[in-house]
Amino acid sequence: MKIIIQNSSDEPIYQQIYSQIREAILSGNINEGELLPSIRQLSRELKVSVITTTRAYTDLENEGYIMIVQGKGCYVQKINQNVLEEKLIQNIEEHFLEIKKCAKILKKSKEELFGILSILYEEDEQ
Amino acid sequence: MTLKNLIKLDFYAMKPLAKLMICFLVIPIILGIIVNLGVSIMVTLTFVVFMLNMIFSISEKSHFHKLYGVLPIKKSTSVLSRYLFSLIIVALTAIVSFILYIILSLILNGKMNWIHGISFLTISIVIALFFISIQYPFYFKFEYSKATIMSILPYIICFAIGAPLFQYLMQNNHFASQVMKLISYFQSHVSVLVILGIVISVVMVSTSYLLSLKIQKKEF
Amino acid sequence: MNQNILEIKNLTKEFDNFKLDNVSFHLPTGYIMGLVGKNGAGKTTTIKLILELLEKDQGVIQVFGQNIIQHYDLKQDIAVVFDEVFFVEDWKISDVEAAISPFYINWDTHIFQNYLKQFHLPTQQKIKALSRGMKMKLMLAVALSHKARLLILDEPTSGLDPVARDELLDILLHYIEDEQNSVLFSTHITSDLDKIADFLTILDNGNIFFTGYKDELFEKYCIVKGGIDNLNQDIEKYLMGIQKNSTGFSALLDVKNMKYMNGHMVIEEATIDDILIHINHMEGE
Repeated sequence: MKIIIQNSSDEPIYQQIYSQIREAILSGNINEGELLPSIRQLSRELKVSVITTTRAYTDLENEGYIMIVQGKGCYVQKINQNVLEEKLIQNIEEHFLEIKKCAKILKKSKEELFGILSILYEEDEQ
Repeated sequence: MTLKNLIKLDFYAMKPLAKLMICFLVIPIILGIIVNLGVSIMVTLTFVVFMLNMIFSISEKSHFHKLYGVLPIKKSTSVLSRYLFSLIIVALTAIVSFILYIILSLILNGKMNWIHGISFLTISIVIALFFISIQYPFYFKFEYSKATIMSILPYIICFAIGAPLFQYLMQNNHFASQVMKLISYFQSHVSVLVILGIVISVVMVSTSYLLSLKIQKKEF
Repeated sequence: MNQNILEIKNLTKEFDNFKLDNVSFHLPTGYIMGLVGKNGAGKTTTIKLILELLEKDQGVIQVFGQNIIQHYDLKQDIAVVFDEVFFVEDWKISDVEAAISPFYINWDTHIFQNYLKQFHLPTQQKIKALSRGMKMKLMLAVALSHKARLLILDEPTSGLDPVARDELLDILLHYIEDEQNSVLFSTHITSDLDKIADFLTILDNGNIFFTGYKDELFEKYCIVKGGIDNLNQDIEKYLMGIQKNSTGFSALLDVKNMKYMNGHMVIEEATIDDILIHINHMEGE
């Protein structure tokens, strides 16, 4: 598992850990049932405080990504594919809502938005 | 248990000085051959007491007060252990110097004068312990540099006032004859001298220890 | 886990020119607490009071739930690293073990030898020949070799190079990994604590300015910057430790007072250093 802490980032460190582990789980880089480093091991490896890694892991546990077993370690939970999709779609919807709001303020039409989107996709392809 | 370890700690602290101390022991031996064998015991013991003071300098330089705060010991134990360590060193030196006295006597004179030897040994030990008893409370109360100056004060009083006074009194025939009587009494009753020496030593050292315990520097 | 390994209540100690005033904080088992403040804020005094190198005027100091006074056996489980060695300079490293180890029931010579190896400390080296960093490592090796549960460090990183400091942080995080051990770490080099401390206690002139979770500190305070013309008396009363110069001002702000600030000012996250610098400026106010 790869985790990179950016000290210059505005994002709090616990959030950086949280989102990188979540991404690794969602993208399938770490599989269900896999053992993650313990809270204290991770804090030593990343040289961050125990409270910070605890916070990241607790958030991950609350959202059902991992399971913390006292004294044993942390396991990646089985993720229900439907739930996962639902979550991601929900995520997309939230972002689109935000985009819609901004577009309204700037009085941009639906077509203009599509234009921006297709430019972004083209950039990706290149 | 901790007492034993603390005494050992003092031995370790003095270890770097051990070689130097042994080298310096040559001086009293030479003195003994040239001047007087009895004097050599006295010089050796007084010399060791002066060397012993170095333990306060070493422990101060090495921040032992912090060590005593860190180690699982009662702080007052470090006072007792310092006294016991010193007594052990004095005892060891007394034994060594007495053996030297015996050997040198046999070589130089072909015979051994026990009365002379034992009375000198007793007086030397009492003097050494007298020095320790007076100096140590100063060392426990003040920092080394200050204590060194203060602990000289008793000697100044002793030698600058005591010695001339004694000399003055000795001019008085009656006093002088009393002193001579006393000396000859002890010469014929060495056991009384030894017992008296032990009693005086015990009283001096324990008083000094209790005083040190009471006035020792408690804050650093 | 919830038990406090160290608990200090209303600790007071008065000197001629300084007073440690009513200091209270606690360190839960299994975590690292940073004790910060500028030189002379009372960090070393607090540590000396814990170790009874000073006699407190008032207050309670409990270690492992017991009063440390008269329980000198508790020190079997406490290890301390000071900013200076308390060993004889002429000792070799092997002498240190010989002299110190008998005091500790749980001394483990294997652990000690391993640390010597890990820190590249040769046993036949004399202490006076060691560099500052090496001396610190030696003290750390001694401290970690008797299975102490509370490790107290007094300014261990001052004078250490960045590599040695990083190694120290690694050792400390390793030390608390088993959830039984805790660290109290006094320093004025705050970049070390920014990373690894779970709790912070900030001392200012003998008083507690803050004690609690490190993150809470950063959530509670921020830094405000702006031009001098942005300041007026209404705004200034919410600001702490205002530093003014010809190009503008900067000050510490309690986040709950953020609403009183205006749009011309810049608000940013505070570092421990920022907070220390600004509370230092508060004294004159």
